[in-house]
Amino acid sequence: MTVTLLMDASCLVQYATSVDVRSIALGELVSAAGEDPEAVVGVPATCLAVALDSAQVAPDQMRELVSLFVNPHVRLLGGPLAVTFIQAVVALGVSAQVADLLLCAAEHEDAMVLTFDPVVVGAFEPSARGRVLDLGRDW
Amino acid sequence: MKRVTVSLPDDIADRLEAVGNVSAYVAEALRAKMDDRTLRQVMEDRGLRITDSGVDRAREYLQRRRTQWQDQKASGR
Repeated sequence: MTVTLLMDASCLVQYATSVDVRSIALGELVSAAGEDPEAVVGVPATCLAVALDSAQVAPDQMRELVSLFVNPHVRLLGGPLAVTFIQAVVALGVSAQVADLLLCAAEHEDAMVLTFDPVVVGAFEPSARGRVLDLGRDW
Repeated sequence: MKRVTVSLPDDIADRLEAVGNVSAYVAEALRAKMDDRTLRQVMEDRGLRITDSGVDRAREYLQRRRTQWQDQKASGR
């Protein structure tokens, strides 16, 4: 499985709640990544959980999020080892979704990270920030 | 309904031996593979109008940022 992009909770919330220019830009990026039949857009499971739990996402919009995962090019990432790692990092004061995102980024070192959230951008070391596409700043 | 003979790698053949209805199992797997709804169509179902020029722009952006990042990694900065 080649993960080419990682989407965080802010991207999922944006996707579910709006059809504005930022959502279209996100859709274009995900569509471009999905042109490669072997490519997968990965979503750390905790990021989906955070998005679904977000007060910004209304119940009828949750369907939009879930429908995204019907497509084989979008996969949930994570597993038992991830849970252990996340618990350890959360104990250090980092949010669970950021911990999961960092873990997935470490596991898929060629994947770029999509986010609208400055906290997520800041969670990456300066040396790794080049892989973080700060859509909040770029769009 | 047609009968088809195929050659498969050993690991897949072994897996199929454990399956009750091989034909149904294979048909379901192939149907999933044949679901040719692209991500773009999924987005458009969502109400996001994705254009060719937009996807071209996104592809160039991704390539440029990926190249920049690879260069950054290679230089150790």
